[in-house]
Amino acid sequence: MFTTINRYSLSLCPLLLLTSSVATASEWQLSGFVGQGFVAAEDTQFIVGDDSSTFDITEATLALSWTPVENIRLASALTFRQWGTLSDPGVMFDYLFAEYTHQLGEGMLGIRAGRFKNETGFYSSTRDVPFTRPSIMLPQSIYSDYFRDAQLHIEGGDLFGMHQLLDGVVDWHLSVGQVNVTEDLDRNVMGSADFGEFDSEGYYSGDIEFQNDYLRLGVSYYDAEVSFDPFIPGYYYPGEIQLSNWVFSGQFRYERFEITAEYLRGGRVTNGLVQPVAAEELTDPSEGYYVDVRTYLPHDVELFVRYDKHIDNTDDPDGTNSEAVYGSPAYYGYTKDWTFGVRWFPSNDWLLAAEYHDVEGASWVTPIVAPDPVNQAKHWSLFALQLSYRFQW
Amino acid sequence: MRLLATWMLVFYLFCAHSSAAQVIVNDSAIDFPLPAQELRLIFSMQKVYWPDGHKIKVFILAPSSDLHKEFCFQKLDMMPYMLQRRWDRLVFSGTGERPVILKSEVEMREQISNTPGAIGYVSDSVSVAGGLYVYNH
Repeated sequence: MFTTINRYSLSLCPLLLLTSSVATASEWQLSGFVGQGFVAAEDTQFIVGDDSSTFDITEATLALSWTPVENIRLASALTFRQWGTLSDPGVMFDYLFAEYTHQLGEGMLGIRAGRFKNETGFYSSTRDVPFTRPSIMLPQSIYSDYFRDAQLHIEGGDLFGMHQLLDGVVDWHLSVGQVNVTEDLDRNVMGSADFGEFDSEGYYSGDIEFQNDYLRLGVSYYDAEVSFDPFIPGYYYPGEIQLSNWVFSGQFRYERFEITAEYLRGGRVTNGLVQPVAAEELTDPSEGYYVDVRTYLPHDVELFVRYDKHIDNTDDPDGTNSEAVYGSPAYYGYTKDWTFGVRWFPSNDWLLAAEYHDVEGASWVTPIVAPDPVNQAKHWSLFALQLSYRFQW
Repeated sequence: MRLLATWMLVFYLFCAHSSAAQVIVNDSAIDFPLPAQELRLIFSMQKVYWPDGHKIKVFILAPSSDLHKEFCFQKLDMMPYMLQRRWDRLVFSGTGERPVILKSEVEMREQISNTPGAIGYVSDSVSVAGGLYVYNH
């Protein structure tokens, strides 16, 4: 493509040599964003709680990357987040790690230790970033908000690589460690943080992804285990929940259209919690997928439509068996979510997003083990709006 | 996507009335060929080493600047916010860095000629001197 190379060779003047010894800007990078949202919901208490709407939808992150010497980098992000009833307001380190990278052929190999993000699917690692996720509320079949806390922040080690392949890049991760669990998980699973406390038992995962100019393909697997310790004996029982999931991801772009689909197949093994540990384990082979079609219009406007389906237990896809055994309505066994949304970048650093969810079912509506059919209808809807600003120094 | 990028570039050139962008590298990186595919990987921060093992240092102007947009359309055949989306994913997951953003073409020329392994761009109208090379079509 470049047919000629023109050489402009002049001797470096001494002044330029002097400035080169001064620390360059590349050693530090500071980036961040702030987002404020609004959520209104009908016939549900998901996110909004007792009210029908909430402004408690706030996200802010300050991310710092520092490269003291060529192959070593320290990275950290401090995050404030509140997300209606799903996340209480709080500040935490989103990640904080040291990494070492080394060239390997045309690519690189690296290892990092500390707190880092789960890389499952296309969006887990940046699911809280308005600019990188496809919608305000992610497809819950793959990126459930109720279990977000039990899989997102990993404390341990991550071996990773990035290699050129054909006309694109392959990157992969192998991670092992523990999950950082907060009180949000207690509330989203059990209904109240007062019933007891979840603690991380162990986590491991692997993922590989290929990306070129028009195609993105990925496979990931993770296994996350949390134990539960009740505060009041007799009401709930001590036990554990183990999640092991495969996620297959694909994205194809053609001119102004983009189609994305992800499929999750896995299982949730619950031992204890709602019944004594002595009783047999409760295994829910679950399944979920979504298909998202979007178009990139002129003036930085993006429109999308998405169908997202989740089945809590594939042995009981319409929930009728669960209704007969446990008494909670059958629609707690599955969820179908049609989403229609728009995203607009009025300038490079601003994003205004709006979306409407038309939902049938309640399999991922919190609290998971304490269904509330009085306030949760079979058919419900949710509207979300968010304005976000990003900066990069 | 390429067709769209091309049409948007045509549209953009009619509106913005600007000159072409040209890729410049530090003289330590003169030996490596830079087809468009390679440029896309480098400016997406997905190729981080030169073949000789040195780190690639990527410099850009403000993403909202005309020259940056023009560079994306012309040299990368890519829409600017697609490029930004790739950095954002790296930056906010913590797994990588974005290019260093410079304030002016003067600063760009200085940084490229003084930083081993550096790559960036300037507009055609700017005369280039110092320890750097220009790649032309």
